[in-house]
Amino acid sequence: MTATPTRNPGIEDTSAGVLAVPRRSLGQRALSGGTVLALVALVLFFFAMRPDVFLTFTNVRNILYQVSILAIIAVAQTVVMVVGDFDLSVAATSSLSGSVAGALLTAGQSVTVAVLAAVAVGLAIGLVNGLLVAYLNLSAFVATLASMTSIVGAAYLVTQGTTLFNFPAGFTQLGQGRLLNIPMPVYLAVLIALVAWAVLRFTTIGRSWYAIGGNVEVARLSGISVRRSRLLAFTVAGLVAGIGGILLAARLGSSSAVQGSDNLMFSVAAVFLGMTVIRSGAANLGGTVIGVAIIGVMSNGLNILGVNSYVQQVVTGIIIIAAVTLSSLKTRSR
Amino acid sequence: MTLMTEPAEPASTTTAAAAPAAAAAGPFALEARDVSKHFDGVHALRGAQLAVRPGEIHALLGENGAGKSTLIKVVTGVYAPDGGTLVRDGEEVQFTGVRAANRAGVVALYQELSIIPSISVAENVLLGEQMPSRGGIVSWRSMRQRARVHLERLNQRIPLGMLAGELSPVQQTMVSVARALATDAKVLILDEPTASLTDTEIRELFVVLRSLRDEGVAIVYVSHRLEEVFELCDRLTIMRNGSHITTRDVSASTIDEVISTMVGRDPGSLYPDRGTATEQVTISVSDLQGRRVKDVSFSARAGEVLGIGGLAGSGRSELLRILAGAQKQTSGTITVAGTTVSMRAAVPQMLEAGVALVPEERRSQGVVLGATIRDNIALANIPTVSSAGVVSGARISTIVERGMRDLQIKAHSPRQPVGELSGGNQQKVVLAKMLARRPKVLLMDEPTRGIDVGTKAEIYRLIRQLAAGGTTVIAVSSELPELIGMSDRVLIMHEGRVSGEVDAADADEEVLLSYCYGKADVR
Amino acid sequence: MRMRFTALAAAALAAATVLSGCGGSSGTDAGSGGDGGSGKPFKVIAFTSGNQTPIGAWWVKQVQADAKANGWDLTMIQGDFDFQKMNPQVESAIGQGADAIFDGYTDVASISSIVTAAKDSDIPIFAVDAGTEANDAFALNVTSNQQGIADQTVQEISKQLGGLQGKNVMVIGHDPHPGIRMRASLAEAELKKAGANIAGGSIQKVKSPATGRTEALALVSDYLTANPGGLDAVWVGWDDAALGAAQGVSESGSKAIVTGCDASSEAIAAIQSGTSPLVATVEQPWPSVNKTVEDAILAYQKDGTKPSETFDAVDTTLVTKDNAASITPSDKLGS
Repeated sequence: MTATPTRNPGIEDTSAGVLAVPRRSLGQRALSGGTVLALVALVLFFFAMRPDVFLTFTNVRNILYQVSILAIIAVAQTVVMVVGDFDLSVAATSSLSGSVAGALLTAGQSVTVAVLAAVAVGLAIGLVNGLLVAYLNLSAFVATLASMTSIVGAAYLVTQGTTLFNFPAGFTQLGQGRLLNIPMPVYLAVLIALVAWAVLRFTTIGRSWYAIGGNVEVARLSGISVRRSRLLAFTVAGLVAGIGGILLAARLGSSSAVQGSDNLMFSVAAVFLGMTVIRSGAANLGGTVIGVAIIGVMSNGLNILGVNSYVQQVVTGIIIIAAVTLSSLKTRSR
Repeated sequence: MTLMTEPAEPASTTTAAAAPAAAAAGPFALEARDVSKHFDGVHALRGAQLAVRPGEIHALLGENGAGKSTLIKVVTGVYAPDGGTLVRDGEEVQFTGVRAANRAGVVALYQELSIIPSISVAENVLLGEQMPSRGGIVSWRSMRQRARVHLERLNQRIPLGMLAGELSPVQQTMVSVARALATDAKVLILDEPTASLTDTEIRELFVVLRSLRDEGVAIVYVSHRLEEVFELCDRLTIMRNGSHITTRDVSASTIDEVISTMVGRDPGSLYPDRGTATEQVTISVSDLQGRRVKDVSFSARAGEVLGIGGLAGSGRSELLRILAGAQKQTSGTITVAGTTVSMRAAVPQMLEAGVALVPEERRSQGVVLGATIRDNIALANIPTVSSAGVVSGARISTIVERGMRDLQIKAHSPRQPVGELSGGNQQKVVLAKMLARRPKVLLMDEPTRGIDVGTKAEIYRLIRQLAAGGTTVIAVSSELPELIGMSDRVLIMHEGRVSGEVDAADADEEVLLSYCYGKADVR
Repeated sequence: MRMRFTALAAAALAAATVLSGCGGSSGTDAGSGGDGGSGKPFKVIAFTSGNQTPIGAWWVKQVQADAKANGWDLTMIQGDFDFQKMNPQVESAIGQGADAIFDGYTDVASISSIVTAAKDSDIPIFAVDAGTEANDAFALNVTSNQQGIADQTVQEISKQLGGLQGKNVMVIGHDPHPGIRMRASLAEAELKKAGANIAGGSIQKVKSPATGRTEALALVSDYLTANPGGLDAVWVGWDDAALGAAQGVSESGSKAIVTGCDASSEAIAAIQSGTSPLVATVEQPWPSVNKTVEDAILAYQKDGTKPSETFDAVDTTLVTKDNAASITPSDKLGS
């Protein structure tokens, strides 16, 4: 009936009875989803299996380090999904940004120039995606699928199909350096997530994104500049994905056209998991962080238990389905 | 949904020079003078007028297609009029878009487009430009304060942090009214605001609307529910065929008079004369069983219109669905034109046997809204328009042209998407696609649901024409006057069984109603 | 990239059509081989799915240059790892007629439809690294000796650790790549035979070559977290993942050593640095392998002689700190 697909599981049950629902605290609200329970269950399970290892400082740091770049890409994906779109090019954008930084460093440019150029590449890709979606009215799926294809091609061109390496320490420190024995990407991921959370929560543009994602026509009629807001959302996503790509290159000390390509599916999965966490069913940062945590804990925990990586992949899919099903069951029983 | 295409943004108000004759600026909050608008050469509005005073609730009435929604879209800046003028508080204005109209205090609320379900109540009240912020940072505290003020003006105590999607329908309406007030609306246009509300909720809404009226807000109230109009409104304007017919005080009108003015003729002539059925039985059913259907037996003849009534849940729709092969039959026999149909016959086999169904939920079961008239008609006739698996465009054109001509479907061309047509014309498309199969028995479930009075008469006439051509029409209706008016004979169902059978010519609503409740059994 | 490729393929197809149209050549005619005296150019269809890898890209350039020198009429089809696209193109080129087919780095398992089409037209396929075992699909398939690679790397680990008895070694492989799969299982068997424990009980598997480095990194660091000091060495099937494993080892503060395979410039640089846990890789002699196969094609062109053996696995060179400086990195073959 409406043009915007409504992702809110709560809409159908708008009965007068809902009136009685008291306002719930943030904690209660967070617990409404099975997703949080799934994360808690996973942590408890792995802790029970390997109490000597799983929750040690070293391992928790490992998990944080392993998910930090995925978390950054997932932040980018969250912003776009708040607006009700999605961006298939985030992982490719991050690869290209990392490749551009790598190519410039290899060509002898300074770290500052390389990083700024790579950020600019991310920003520019986001801008183009935004223009395609918001002003040329392409569907986000088609636009970002097409741009992803071109971006991967561009990354092959930039790297000439090889793996670029031998970057100066000033650059690799961004990804491998430590502060208080915690790797830099962890701090940067936390910082980016916090800034994105604040933007989504406390700024007019953030609230406009939510309004557009909820019902684009109402938003438009309420005087929200829908096109500009969507353009901005894609631009921010491109920028953030670009930063993620720089950190990935710095973390691995190399850049190639395809590195980090699994971040696309994982970022979408993390945001979807996060959408089940809150009542409105909209994409949200807290939820995304939980989604990223589930993916990270799964992979680390199963590695620690020595589970075959093919089995791991099967189990990961099942856990995602289970978490989403669990929360939709809760929604239905309400 | 097609209705909300907004012209390009950004929008801004262009206030033309104030009308020179200030004296002509009456005491109206909003005036549309002699407005015309046409689409592709078809006049949607011709000499439309609307003049609303501050502090009144003004009903805008007319059949579907009379031009009410087009007029609303003109006064709210969705469409630019081709001719005529808009006057707001004595000043001639031109709205370049919805936002321009909103800034000038003219706000329309549409039922399905009233709120954003996934965000909080407070934000819904203060969406967009109204959101309190400094340097791009939102002040949640002052947002809550201001939202509370606006809701309290409506006497509503809705938790501000709740998701709007979790509110009851009336609360959602209240939130959208509050948003209109937050934009300082002076002219509030409500389009069918009570469609999804319960009686109690309607009372609640009326209290609020009256108090807004008393504060000086001009309210335009669009509704098909005339009882509500007579209870709530002060004046009314009736439109027909895109033109203004009359504006007068509600106290000086009666419902009957309003209806006949809307329809433009005496509503008594709604139903055509009955015909005479032949002796030839086209369909006979004995001891039919299925979900919600128990031991039903009857037969119908060529040229007969058989009405089937009963309360909701009596099994009347299920009976039709079984006959059409859309629902499983568990026992009993169906004989069409002398041949007994297999128990397992599904829709294609029943169509082959000559039984076609026009379903109740037109928009979800009858037509593909996004597809063209041509494609919709072709869809149900693929076997007839194709040979050896290849579809013939020429044959499609033939049946589409014939259908559109015979049924007088009002559309620009066969390539117009069905979603753009009025409810009545959509129903005709469904009919056209089924009639192209030349059914011996046509089943119709609620043939006139959601169709305006004028087109209803046309549908009844079509049904009668079909019968005259030898088709048997079996029609389910929940409206007793319709059942009696259109049928030759009426069966009433109660809890899956036939509880009564009456000759329509001497049927009486009271008797039918008692059968509906299973109170008498003539059998 | 894709555009360029499509244009190239289209041009190649067009050229093939024109040529066969003029010359009236047929499959059987070409199949007899050795038409050296007829004045018609010797027609070769070359294809590779791995043109996006450095080695694949080098091979494309090398074959194009050699074809020019040999006076071949070359149709080069580049598959971008997309067999669904590549195979039909190769088959339709075969349909246009050719004298020989030249497969670069595309495993026999992925091209069975091409093999059938070639057999039907009686055109021999000559191949570089197209399967780890002898089979009758090829007139000749020359690859590197997987057993040799496993021997060289395992011996180097043994040498550096002072014997393998009781040592903990992780083996990281990638099954979809036949070469890596074979050498990984050979290495595992050898390690076990020498008394080493295989960490995690079996070969650890990387899911995608694109994310090989991060996957290997996570595998090693998670294993070392769960089993501190639990690794003496990591044997990895290819350099990109080996570099990830090496990073995991050094980040965990482990003393384990790592070996790879491919002799990529990044791996050679790491070995030369002396600070990386990566201590050895293996050079596969692709230029000489390619030369051998091309020579066999030339012999066939001359008088229709087919090689007596259809399979050859050539020896490889172990790359350690001692000889690293003298090795041409596999991704720099063209330059």
